[in-house]
Amino acid sequence: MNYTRRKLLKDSVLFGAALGASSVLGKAVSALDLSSLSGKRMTFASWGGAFQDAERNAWFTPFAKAAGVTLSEDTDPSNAKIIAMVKAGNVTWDVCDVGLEQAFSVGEQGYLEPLDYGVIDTTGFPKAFVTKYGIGNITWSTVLAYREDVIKGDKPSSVADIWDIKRFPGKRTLRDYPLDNLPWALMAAGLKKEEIYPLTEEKLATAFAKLDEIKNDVVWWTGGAQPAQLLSTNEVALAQVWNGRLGNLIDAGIPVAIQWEGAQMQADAWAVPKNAPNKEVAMAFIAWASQTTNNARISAEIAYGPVNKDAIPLASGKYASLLPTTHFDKQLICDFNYWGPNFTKVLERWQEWRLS
Amino acid sequence: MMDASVYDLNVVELRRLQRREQRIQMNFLVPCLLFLILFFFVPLAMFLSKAFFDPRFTTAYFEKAFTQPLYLNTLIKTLKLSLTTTIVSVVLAYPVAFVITQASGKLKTAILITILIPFWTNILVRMFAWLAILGRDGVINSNLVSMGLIDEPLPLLYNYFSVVLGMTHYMLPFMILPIYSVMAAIPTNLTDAAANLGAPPFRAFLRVFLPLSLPGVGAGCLLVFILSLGFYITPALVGGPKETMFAQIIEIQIDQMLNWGFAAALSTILLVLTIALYLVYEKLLGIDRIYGKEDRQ
Repeated sequence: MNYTRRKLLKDSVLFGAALGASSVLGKAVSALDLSSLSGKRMTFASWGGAFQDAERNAWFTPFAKAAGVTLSEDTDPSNAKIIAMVKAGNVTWDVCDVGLEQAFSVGEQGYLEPLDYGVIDTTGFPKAFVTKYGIGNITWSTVLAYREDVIKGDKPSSVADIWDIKRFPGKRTLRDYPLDNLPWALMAAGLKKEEIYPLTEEKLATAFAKLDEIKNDVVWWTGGAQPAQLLSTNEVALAQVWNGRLGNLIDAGIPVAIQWEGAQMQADAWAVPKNAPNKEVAMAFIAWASQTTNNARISAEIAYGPVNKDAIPLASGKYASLLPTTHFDKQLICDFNYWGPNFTKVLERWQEWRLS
Repeated sequence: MMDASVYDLNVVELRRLQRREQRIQMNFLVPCLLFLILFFFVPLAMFLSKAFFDPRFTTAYFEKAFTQPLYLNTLIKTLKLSLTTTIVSVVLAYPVAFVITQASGKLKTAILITILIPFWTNILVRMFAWLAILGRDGVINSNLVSMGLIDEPLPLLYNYFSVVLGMTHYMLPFMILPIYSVMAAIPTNLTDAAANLGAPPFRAFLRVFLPLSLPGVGAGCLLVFILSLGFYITPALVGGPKETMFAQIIEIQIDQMLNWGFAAALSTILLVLTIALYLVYEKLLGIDRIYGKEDRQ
């Protein structure tokens, strides 16, 4: 990247001032023109419930209005379903809300369209959330939550304290997933946030060794509602949990505190299935929804943050204390450009470690 | 008034008519068979073929399944858990089935309803009920602690014990009902005859009743063991990592690893193993006995 940029700078000096600085330093993004989309259709697929309502209100309906596009929607765009749809040659979805860690391998296997970064302006986006087949749309975070009534006195000061069995005895719950645990294990092993990614072979070995230390004290969860339930029934005192799941617990009067220090900020992403029937509408939508003012809209609808850093100051204050973007600097940013090509391999190693 | 010609039919003619009737009866099976073929066998074959073709013929998936210890270990664990569940179920179910055959009227209805209500309750609901009963703050632990019998809550969840308990709870009706149906068909006068010939009650039970009830035990064990092999929800909700079962491994391959070829290979292994166990069982015990058709000519 640096090399290319330097080379381009040199070229621009050599060949004169014809090349404007902006087109040299950034990728050339053509201005977004929605007028050509009028009368077309677009189908989006997301995860239903309050989340899909929020996405519809924040993005899909306003976009459809602005572009004159007819909208339809569906639910549950799991990778397995996207693959099945593309394999069957019957793709009905144009835009899907997906997890970023697997978008790369799904895309490389030929089930996703590469995103058109000639249309999508990524200015303001953390690089970790901009990948070949997916770009972040909302941020959420995997945080440490603990029972304030059980953990008295000394409080956990970082996610690494999950490893401190002496100060915080009893069972803890972690997600049965490498993406959340390996970075935390490395922090517990003394690495700084900025030293975590990329996870080299050596770091992976360190992380698994660190996880061995607490293996017998862990209850593993797979569904997002489980850690909240385990906290509420006092099954565990400490939990690794998605920040969006804690509002209900706190509302129910369960004394739970959140530690954001070392929490890992992650993003859901937009992706376009291969051979989507309205691909150009999908790309225009993603470009539109990624624009600073539009990206900020989501936080008025649900307690998730925008991805575009420039959108953070514009986000609604309605859920401010719950938004991961409010605690931006305390968190580790999940590097999806690392996970993309490495996820499957690490997941397999994770399964073997966990089951052995 | 009967048609006189009926009496004129000879044996050959009668056989012919019987065969015709059988052929007509077979036609009743056609819709069900078509349904099974279209919606079960064809998709199953399509899925399992992925284990062998990727898209060209490959044995890589099976090599992986048999060379990486994780998969065979999980299979062995699955067999162990299924066997334990079967044994615990049969030990608990046999006396219950016996009591049902002896009971009459309201008591019998009451027992049967007690068995059937959980049978009709969704498995997820039942597993969440166990979470509420066995948890650290659950019914058992909170009572034991408040009675001062223990200081620290017992670890009743997320282990071998809770998985066997949850699976047995689910499986009991599958064990009780076949045993009961066989026991109910044993004529009571056989044990009476044994008593009459001087056998004390226990010996009459051991020599007469127990052997006659065994086909029911066989059917129940087969049903419970095979159903247990494919268990998924119970170990996922009330088990720990050590109780991970084969179906969970298959799910991980489909949903997380997106490796459908390997998932198909693992499914094939489980299916072949199940069929093999069924055949061995039939060889040893005879499936006809299980279905109560002993008097076949």
